[in-house]
Amino acid sequence: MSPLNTDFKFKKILIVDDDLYLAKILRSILETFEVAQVRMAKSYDEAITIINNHPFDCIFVDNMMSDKNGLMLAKHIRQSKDINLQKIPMILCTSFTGLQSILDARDAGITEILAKPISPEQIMEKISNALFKQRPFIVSDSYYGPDRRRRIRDYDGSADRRNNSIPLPEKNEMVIDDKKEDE
Amino acid sequence: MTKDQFTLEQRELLLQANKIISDASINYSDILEQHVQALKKSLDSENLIEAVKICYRIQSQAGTFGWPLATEISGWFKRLLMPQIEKGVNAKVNTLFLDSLNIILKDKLKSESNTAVNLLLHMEAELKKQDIR
Repeated sequence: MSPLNTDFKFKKILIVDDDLYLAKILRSILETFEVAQVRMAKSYDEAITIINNHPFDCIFVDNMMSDKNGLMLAKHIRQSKDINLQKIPMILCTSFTGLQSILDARDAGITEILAKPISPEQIMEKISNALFKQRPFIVSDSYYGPDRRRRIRDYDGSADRRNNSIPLPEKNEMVIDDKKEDE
Repeated sequence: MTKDQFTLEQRELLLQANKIISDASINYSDILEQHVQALKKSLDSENLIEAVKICYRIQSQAGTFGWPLATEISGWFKRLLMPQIEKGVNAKVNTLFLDSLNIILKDKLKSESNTAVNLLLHMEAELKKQDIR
């Protein structure tokens, strides 16, 4: 495995979380990682105001806030008419790590999921992936966001693959990091 | 990702970041106590949405700051509280979990120990009596 790119010296990151205690810890960790600028927003509305006026390279958003949840913010951003904002990498910080929650996050256009409780190793890995291993951005009638497929697998069936049944991946092939059981 | 896969420079940054967390862990029991008190208040007033939110917060924070058992139990409690928003309050379950969180605080039960295992077994048995999993 190649080493992570952790050159965050010119990166600007926004943390959206109403849990100020954890948000401040996350900010300190990002500053330790030499992120150029870290800002915090404690609500959905405050986040919207900030992102409309300041560019960021990445957004950390909590899934459960008092007003609206993180997935609503992701959907709002993915449907933005501002191309740069629309494509911004988003990391969902959440304690909801059951399969359905992960699928909901993926369908909302979340780039990476940071499972709480957090660890610095996990934060470094997720932010590096979000910033430097970006997947193609998909715009379709029903989905805006990073390609939901994380792995390109060979296909040796016929050209009309939608009419063929495709075997589901084995459990150990699942890409989702589902170490923490929830829900 | 294992620690071996980080470069030396990255490991140095991770050491500093882990120090931030260990420093914050020193007084985390005070914050956990405040959360448990707020949880009691929300349950007393049957404000279940607030109770779910506090459980989520404990679940999110406690494990990071060295209290994984509190994370496990508050996550479990959150899952049992969410259906109560529709179906109504189950006071026995809520008291069981609130008492357990208080025991965790009082006895400083941070992770696996005989006392922690006994607490979890007791909770399971109590929930089984009510046919709740």
